[in-house]
Formats: sequence, structure tokens, C-alpha cells
Amino acid sequence: MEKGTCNQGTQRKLVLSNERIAGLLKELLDCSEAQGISACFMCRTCSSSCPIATLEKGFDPVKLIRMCLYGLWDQLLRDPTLWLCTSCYACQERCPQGIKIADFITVLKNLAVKKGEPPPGIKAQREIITQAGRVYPLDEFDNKKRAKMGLPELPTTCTVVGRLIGAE
Amino acid sequence: MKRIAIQRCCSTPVLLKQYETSTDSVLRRLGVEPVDIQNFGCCGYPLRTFDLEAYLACSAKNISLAEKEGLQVLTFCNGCYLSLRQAYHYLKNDDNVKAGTNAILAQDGLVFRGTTEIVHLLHFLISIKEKIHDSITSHLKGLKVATHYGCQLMRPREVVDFTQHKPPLFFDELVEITGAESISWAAKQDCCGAPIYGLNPDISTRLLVKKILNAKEAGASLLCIACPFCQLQFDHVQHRLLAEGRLDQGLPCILYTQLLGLALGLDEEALGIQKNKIDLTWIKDFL
Repeated sequence: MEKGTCNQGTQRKLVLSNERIAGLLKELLDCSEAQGISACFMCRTCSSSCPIATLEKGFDPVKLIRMCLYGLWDQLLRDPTLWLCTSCYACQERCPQGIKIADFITVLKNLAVKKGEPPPGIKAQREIITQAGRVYPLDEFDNKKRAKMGLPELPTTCTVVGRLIGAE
Repeated sequence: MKRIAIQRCCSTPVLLKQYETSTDSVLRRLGVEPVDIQNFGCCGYPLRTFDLEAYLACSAKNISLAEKEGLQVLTFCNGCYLSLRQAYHYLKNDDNVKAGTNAILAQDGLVFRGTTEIVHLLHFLISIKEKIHDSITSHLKGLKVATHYGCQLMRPREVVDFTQHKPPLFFDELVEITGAESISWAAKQDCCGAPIYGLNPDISTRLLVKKILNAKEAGASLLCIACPFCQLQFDHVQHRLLAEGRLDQGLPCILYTQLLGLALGLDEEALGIQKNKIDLTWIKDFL
């Protein structure tokens, strides 16, 4: 397979609604960069570095990379193990090819929210943050309690969050 | 007095107010004023998995507010630290990402320039270690402590402030300033499991128990933490495991600002040690 062409097929299959994510994914897939996932030669350093893979056989970073390279988007974006990644970055730190594995998995999670089936917990978290601007909502009563402890008042809404993801 | 913008975490106002009060108290004792910028919101971390664009905008918003004030940003949460630093890294190195994010910020009259610095509380404290050394009033002698750095303080290397602190021994040094002994343990750099507790409590607690047992085996009598999510895992979740009989013997944990606060002789109420779930009242015997 010619350098620089091996992923074109898989990229064409994917229609993205968010250009920014498409850009990030393209960067991560790019064959001409050392950090692109096609540089993976399956040494499995990521698998043996991964704290989740040691406990849960179904989760394996190298499996996610392979599925992406084979263009198995349907299975990949519906794979529940995708959500077990804790973003601890142990795989990325140790990859001899310099592949940004944890960042790649974060991009996959973004795509799964848009195209696949995110777990109910993720959907719930999205709802909360859209409404409250934070994952642990605060109200005026909380701010009164904070004031009693000498802590500053915190905003109970966030305009940026509401505007960016609330409109959908 | 040095002024620094403080990024308060989303979990601390609800579940760990003692981390905020102890951090404020420690900083003030060391001659640093934590500045709360109005409209400082979520760091964007929880948005990373849904929408990278929204995440970048949230992070960049806080960074640009701090830049406007000419202040550095201090975080006491590893999640906020990675989130802000990674956003800074993306925006600084990619003009397209920067332009796109700035177009969103412009609606609030803000602009990201990339003129400030994001520092973690531990990095900041190690930079003023002489001052800390001189301010200690009592040493915690004979206390064996296992330091838990937390993943996102250490990785990924191109984003976190790694080169400046290589090998990563700054937390151990900060613990030893208080007179306690920092022990060496194998699972030190492993993940505590906190990020997936909500999605898969079984795997999450298995990661936690693995760390607790390893630290105990290495001879630790206390874990020291500097991230609210790790603290919730080691304190709240461990407390639940003990109460439900799923863990025979636990290992107490303390926030670094509480440990340092004890050595600095700070007000007990501000340190909030009685607010921790797992009993720590015995720690005063070491003073």
C-alpha cells in the first residue's frame, strides 16, 4: 500500500457534521505524520500499558486502532468499551511510534456521540452540562453556604456551554 | 503579594469544599492571593468527550479572562490542569483552531492571545519551596505517605509541564517538606479509576483497590492527593467500599493542602479534615 493513501477509503466513508473534529481526526489518521495511527505496527505496548486492558479483556487500544484502519466505523462507534478509556495517557506516553492514542480515543468518543450510541450516563451528563454549564450544578443556596465558609460566589450558568451545545 | 487567578473545580463546591478552603488558606499563608475572576466557568473538561469545539471554547474563555487581568491561572484539579493546558497547546499551535475559537469568544468580547501560563498547585508550590520551608511551624514526624500524582498531571508530555520537573519527584519533595516520609510504591503512577466511576463502577473500583493494596503493602499509612476527582475516589468511594464490606482494611487519604496546612499550623476549620469521609483525627498525634 502506498504511503499516504492507506486511509483515504476509511475517511471517505465518514461524513462528519463537525469540521473541526474531522480536521483533528484527519491529523490523527494522516499517514505522512509519525503520530498518525497508520504508523502502528501492533507492538501492543499500549495494551500492556493500559490499566483498563489488564482488568477488562474487551478493551484494547490496539483493537480500536485496527478497527479504525479497517474502516469498521459501525462497530467501532457502537463499541461500548470505547467509554472505558479513562484518558490516563499511559498508552500515548509509551507508544514507540508517537501515536496520540488517548487523543484518538477522545476523538472517537466525540464521533460516537454524534454518530453512534453513547452510554446513557454520557447522555445524562450532556443534558446536565447543557442546562447548568457544569457537571455538578450550583444554585443560589449553594452560593450562600459558600459565603458562610468564606468562599467566593460562583456562576450558576455558563453562556458558552449553553450557546455551543444547548442549541442542538 | 503575588496574585494568581484560581480555577475552581466543578466538583469541589458541592463535594469537597475543604479542598477550596484549605487551598485558599495555604496560599494566603504563603503570601499569595488567589483571585476569583468573575465569569470564570467550567474548564471544559467534561465537554471533551462530546464536543471538542465546545471544550476548547470553554477553556479558552477562562484563559482569555485571566489574560485580560494579566494573571497566571492556578488549578488544584488534574482534570482542569490538562483541560486548560491542552486547550492552550491546541490554540497556540494551530492558527485555524485559534481563529475558530476566537470567533466564538468574540461574541463575549473576549480574545485568546496565548500570553499567560497555566500552573498546577503542586508545580506552583514547588517553585516557592524555600518559602514553605521557612513557614513550617511543626513537622509530621514518622508519618509514611504514599503520593498519588494523578495521570493528567504527568501526561501527555507535550502538554503538561513535564520537562521542568523530570524525574517527577516534586510531590514527594513537597510531602517531605512537612516532615513526613514519602515512600516508594509500584502503583504510584497508575490511574485511580475515577474518570469511569459513573460509567463502570466495577472496573473503576478494581483500579482503586489495586492502588490501595499496593500502597499498604509498601508500608504507607496515608495516601496524599492533589486532585479532587482522585480524592473523591480514594475518600468517598473507598469509604463506601469499607462500609459495604467490600474492602477489609482501608488506607486513609489526605489532600496535600490539608497536610501542608497542618505543618503550617493553619486554622482547623479552614483545613476541614473533619469533613473527610475516612477518619483522619489520628493524624494530630504526629504533630
